[in-house]
Amino acid sequence: MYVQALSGLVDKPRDLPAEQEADGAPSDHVLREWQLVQRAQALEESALASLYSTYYPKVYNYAFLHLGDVHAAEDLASEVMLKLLESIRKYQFRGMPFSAWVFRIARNKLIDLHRRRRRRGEVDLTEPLAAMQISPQALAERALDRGQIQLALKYLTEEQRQVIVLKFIEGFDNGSIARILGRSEGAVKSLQHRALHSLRRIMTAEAR
Amino acid sequence: MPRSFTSILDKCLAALNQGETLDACLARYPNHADELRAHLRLAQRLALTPLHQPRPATQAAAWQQFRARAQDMRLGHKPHLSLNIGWLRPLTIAAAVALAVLGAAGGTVYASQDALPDSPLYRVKLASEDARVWFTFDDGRKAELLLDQSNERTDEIMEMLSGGKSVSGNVLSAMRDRNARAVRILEDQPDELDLVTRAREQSAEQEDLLLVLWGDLEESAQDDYAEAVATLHNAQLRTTGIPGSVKPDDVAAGVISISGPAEPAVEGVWLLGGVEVRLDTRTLGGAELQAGQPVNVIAARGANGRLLALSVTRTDGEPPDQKYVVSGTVEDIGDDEVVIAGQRIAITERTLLKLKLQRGKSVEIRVDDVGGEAVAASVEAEQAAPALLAYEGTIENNVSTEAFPNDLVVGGQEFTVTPQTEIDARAGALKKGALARVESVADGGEIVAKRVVVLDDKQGGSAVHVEGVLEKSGDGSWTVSGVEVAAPAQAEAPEVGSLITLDGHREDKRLVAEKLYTTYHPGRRGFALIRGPLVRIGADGIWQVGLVPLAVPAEAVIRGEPGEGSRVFIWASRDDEGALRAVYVNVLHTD
Repeated sequence: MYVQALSGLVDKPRDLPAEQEADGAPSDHVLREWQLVQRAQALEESALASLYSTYYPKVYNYAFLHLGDVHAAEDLASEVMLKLLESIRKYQFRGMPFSAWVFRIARNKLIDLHRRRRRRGEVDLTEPLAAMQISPQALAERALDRGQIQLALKYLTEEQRQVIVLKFIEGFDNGSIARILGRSEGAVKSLQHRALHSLRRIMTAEAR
Repeated sequence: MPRSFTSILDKCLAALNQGETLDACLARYPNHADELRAHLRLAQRLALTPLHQPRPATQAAAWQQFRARAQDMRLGHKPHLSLNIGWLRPLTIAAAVALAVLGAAGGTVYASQDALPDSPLYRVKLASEDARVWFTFDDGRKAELLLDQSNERTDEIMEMLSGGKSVSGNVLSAMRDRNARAVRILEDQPDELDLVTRAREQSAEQEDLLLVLWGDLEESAQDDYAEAVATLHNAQLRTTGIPGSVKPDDVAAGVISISGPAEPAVEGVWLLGGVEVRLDTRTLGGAELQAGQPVNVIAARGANGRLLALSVTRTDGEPPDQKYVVSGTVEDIGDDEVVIAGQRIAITERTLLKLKLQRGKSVEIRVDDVGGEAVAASVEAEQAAPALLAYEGTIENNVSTEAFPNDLVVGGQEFTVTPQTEIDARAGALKKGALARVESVADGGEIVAKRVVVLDDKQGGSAVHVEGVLEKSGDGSWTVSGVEVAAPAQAEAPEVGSLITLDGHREDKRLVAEKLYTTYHPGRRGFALIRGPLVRIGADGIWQVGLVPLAVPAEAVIRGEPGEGSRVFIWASRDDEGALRAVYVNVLHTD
């Protein structure tokens, strides 16, 4: 698993969805989750509760990193979970992990929210560059913590931010990210490179 | 061994994933070690970022809502119509009596819950909804129920459209009725702030939906449509304390979309793209415009042709044109996405699907660029036959500033203007003598304008430029997308279905071709048409229009001077590997 391996270097494991084994066969984790999803498709309460407790916090985290606003992130997480419930019977395991399916819903909800905000002429909190008081240089001088990640992400393009959050924070592999974003794996690799490069410039004195 | 840094970086990230150490990975790529180290360490730091945790109380409250929705689903209720059954229980007997009076047996009522407006059971469905409202005595709850019911009408309209059906008057009338009743209740309940906000936002979304539906109405539904648009618009104003004053008569001839600079005419009236539009604070709220400001306007069109702005969006300071249009064949359909012209386009809940998506269908997709994501705003069937005609020439008839015309004569060709016609007057006013491009289709003996783009409002000449598809030929005469053309001397007619692009002039009402630029047969895949902003011209011959990348080979014909920021119209074909290749590029504007 991607982040577990990174965690081997940084000794901080994170519970993230496993994808496929190297031989292409679904891992035990994926199969167990598929069984759980089938029970949830029958609206079995314990299965729904299990999916809810797994995915609400992940989707909230994803939403917060994109929106930077607690209330908006809570609303989006709730909407995503309700949409998950209403659509879960349509989900079929055809190579797309359930987690990627959930995050595809989240990404679509995020797009809808941006559209609504644009329509109402609201300020998009993901693009507050002009209003931000903190410079990239100042960011580079600080230790990296949650707040700085939040600020640094705002300097990235929407797609770069998606890849950083989905790959390095939510722990998806390239294939799943490609499915979530509707891009090719090659495009995801390229975005990953550009995103890390941009983020590095922001986080170091190179941006001066 | 990967060669590009992108691939090396990805390999190293994957190797770390498998438990390899950072140093081992750097040792394999000594030439890139410094850059790799920096990127990989940043990836490690990102992975260490503590997750933002939701507030437990909020998560628990959302779980209760989730759980209640699951319970509704187990009972077979539709989400928007979930009811507080416990609250209604004391009234069960009375409700049953009321339903009996309505002549609807319980089983019929149950069966009617999924009925669409074209079903005989739809009346029963509406009547059972009315019964629920009658037996709700709390005003706030009643308004909420009416808003739910109004929202159900949105779902019904979307379902009708995706099934390829027209929108009937009964669903519009029911939407208007429920919306108006909810707003009347809420005007006396100023403390119900959440509901007032919901009424305003829901009305805005419903109005947005109706504004693009004129061409999808049953003919008998136009009066109901006008009443519904007026009511939904006024509801937004009334919920902000402004008495709405849009009348159904103002919308009697539908709506029209115009983009261009705004110039003041007389008080309350502005010239937009050379046409008078009333901008009234009683219909718009507090919109304030500056002279010369570029705007997009959706205007109601009264029976007398006069225009009344329903919405005004300022476009200065916006990135140029975030929308683009792709036409072609559906190549694949995935979860929440469709593939057309090799591009994956997201389908969201707000996408207006005007057909049931199927592989192989010809469609036109309006695409929004939402933060770099291609998201479908609408998907509709492309008129397969006859094909699109693009016709450039001088506007020859007088265009009244006071009323919007029903037809335009451009380069000797008469075009019918409908409420679906888009007017793009960003490059000049729509007036006699201006050079314009009309994208149109032949329909029942008329050539119907889909879009009119003013290219230049200075005096145009007599030259005409045509792009279209050859439908038949013989005796020196070709029919190109519904228009008769006297073929150039010695020109051999290409295969039917070929793209024809030519310059010519009118001679006694005949279009005489002088110069033939290109003829191209698209093969079995048909043409993909792409209209939008040119974002990038790559040195490798790859251009990007909107979010669509396509190859522009040396043999492609390019009309005009392309530059990044230009608006272009491209006829493209697919090569054997599925990539798009431009055949003919017309540069419309350089912004």
